[in-house]
Amino acid sequence: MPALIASAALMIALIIPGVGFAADPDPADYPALSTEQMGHVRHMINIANDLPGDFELLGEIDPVYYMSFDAYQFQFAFAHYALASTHYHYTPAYRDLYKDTSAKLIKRMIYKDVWDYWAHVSKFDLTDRTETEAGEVMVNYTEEDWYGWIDPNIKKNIMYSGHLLQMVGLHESLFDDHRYDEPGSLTFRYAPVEYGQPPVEIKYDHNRLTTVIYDQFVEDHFRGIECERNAVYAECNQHPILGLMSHDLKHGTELSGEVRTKFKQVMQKRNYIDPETKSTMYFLKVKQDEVVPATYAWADGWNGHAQHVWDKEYIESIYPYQRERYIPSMLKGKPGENMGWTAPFDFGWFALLASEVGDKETVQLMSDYADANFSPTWIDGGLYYPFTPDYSYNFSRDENGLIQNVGPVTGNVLIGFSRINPADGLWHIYNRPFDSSHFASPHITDVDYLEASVTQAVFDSKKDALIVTLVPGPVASNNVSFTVRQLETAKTYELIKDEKSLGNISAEGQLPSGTRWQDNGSLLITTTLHEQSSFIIKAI
Amino acid sequence: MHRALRNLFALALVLAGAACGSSDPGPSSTGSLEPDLVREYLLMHPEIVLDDAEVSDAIHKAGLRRKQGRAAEERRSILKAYTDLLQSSLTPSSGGTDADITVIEFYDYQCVPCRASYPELQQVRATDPGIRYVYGQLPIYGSHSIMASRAAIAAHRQGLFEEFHHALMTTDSVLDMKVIFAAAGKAGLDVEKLQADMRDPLVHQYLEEVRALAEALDITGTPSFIIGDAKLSGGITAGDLMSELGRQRAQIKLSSR
Repeated sequence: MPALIASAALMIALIIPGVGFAADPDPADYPALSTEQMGHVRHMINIANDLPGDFELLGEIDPVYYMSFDAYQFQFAFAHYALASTHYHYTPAYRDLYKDTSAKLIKRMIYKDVWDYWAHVSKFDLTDRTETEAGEVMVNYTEEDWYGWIDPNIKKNIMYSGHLLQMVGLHESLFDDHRYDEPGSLTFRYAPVEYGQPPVEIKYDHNRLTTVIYDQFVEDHFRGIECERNAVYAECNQHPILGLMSHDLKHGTELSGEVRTKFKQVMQKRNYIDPETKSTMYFLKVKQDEVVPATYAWADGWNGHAQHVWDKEYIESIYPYQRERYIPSMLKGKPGENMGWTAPFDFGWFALLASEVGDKETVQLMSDYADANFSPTWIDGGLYYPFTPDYSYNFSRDENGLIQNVGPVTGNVLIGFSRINPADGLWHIYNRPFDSSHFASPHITDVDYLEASVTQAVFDSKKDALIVTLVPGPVASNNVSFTVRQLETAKTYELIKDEKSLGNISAEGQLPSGTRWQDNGSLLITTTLHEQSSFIIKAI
Repeated sequence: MHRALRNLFALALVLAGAACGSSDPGPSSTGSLEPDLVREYLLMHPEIVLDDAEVSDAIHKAGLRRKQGRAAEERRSILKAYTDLLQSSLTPSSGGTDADITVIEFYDYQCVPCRASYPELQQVRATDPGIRYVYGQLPIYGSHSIMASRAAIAAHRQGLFEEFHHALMTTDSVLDMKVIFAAAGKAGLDVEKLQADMRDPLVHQYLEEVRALAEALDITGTPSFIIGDAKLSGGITAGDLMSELGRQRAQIKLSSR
């Protein structure tokens, strides 16, 4: 009897136009970006679209160190990783926007104001400093030991070059785009006007950057590459490891395995993560051969989310201890209490770790907290938490015992990233990378970013169906269009909009209204979009 | 005597320092002073440079001129590389092609200083027939700015750019699609055709190329002006523009001698 009912339902679905077939893919079964998640995505894309020299929303350069935990490079890099996670998990069948944005963020990374701090920072040992009675930190320059590099990649400074390597590797693995293999594709132009020197061009490409970084791992006996002079931070070294994993994937090298194994041995031997406290060190003083221990939420969050990609079980085993240490006290304390200098960015990096290890409850708790206390702001379709004016020197709780200062890296990028990133979000990107069948599958392009946001775009190979959901963008429009590429001409597809069949699509037959084949074999779909709409294009 | 000698050396140094400027005769014209001797003396007595404020100042200025010279040279080379774009039929411009100076304004329709500068620029355009004025779309204030720039190029296709530009630059309303299309109507444009042209991939590609030019010129905000080979950033008055035009013309005259 049930079989009869099912058969009847099948017949009805096949015969009566407009009635969805029971086995149609349901958009609700696939990941889709919520309104807030889409807002964070758009904010990060808006940042990528700013002029390379426009840093208005990104905070100020520290006048002493010329860089900080909110440095531009970290904001661009983590925006890049956040968008990578978005693309991989929510919109793998919508590539051009993410590919272009990835390239723009890499371009912003190689703009001189982002990296030329190194010409200054490379001259001193940040660990050799004194604090005055007034609380000011004085950097001690040692004249006979002064040296510096213009080139931001050639030696140390893994806090920059490691991110660039990860970004370039992700670009290649996510989009199968090899533009950074071209010699000189990563060219650093040193500004003669500012420095009174002849123009300098420092040319890199993906391979050269990889080689320079791998060689430093070897030279340093895998104890990690220095960020600043004399200081190795564990978290900074996670990014080049992920970069090497991407390089191995696309270039057939075998670099990351050795680095992971040997770096992990050093980490264990030197207690980079203290077995007692389960917390990541502050840094290793190289000359003194001394690990400086710490219990910082930012360090655990930053190191943990990335190490989780290649050391999942270990990071998940220590995460509960870290959560217990930080979360309750981070979210509520005594009014006026000093939370310490790391407060403006502790929140963001720990939220990111919580998302990566799949602690949805904590992510929700932190997102809600941010929405309630960090002045969520929408600009041009983008959602972020503006940095507070005194984020770099006022760390006290407000009168309710809540965090009152938000730094740019937390507000622009990390909270959004944690909200977007699903459990094992980065782990999947590196351990289940896109293969050739992904790049050959149907996908959409040419959605006008101003008029529409794509909240999901997935090709389900088992059901041979493309599932796409659009919502209106910041510019009101009567019609929006998108292009579907790589449909198989030998097949017939059914086009369904919001559960209603619009008709069949084939190379020969009549097309549904609002669709047409283009000269290059792609299908253009034009539609009204006054509210969220889902489209299914499935082979029949 | 010592001071006079120092000033003489300073003069030589300034001339040497400014040698890269296009109109500079170079260090060989230091009269009876041999540049090699000056150099040798300075290497022996570098404190002359360090201790004398006048000399220091002269060196600083010479250095600045050299840097400006290099930057101007780089801009000339960038502009040359983008000649096709600047002469493109999609590029709105005013003034004759035989003008002696080209002014490129990079602007955004929502940028307050751009709007404030607009009547000043109009004044110069009206009184100086010797300039070719190029309108460089650089929408940096979000989605509606981008839409306005697309509409501006679409208006140019209908031959009514100036009218549309004037309508948008002088509107009191916050920019949105209604305001953009109302301005188009006011300018006498076929709004339906305008909307179609705004979607034309060629228009989008053109705007990407203008953006690439701006980035190559290291433009970091709006308005920014390229006047001949000089760059000015921020809102300007008619006086600012005229005085830079004067400098550029003097430079052209000097280099053509």
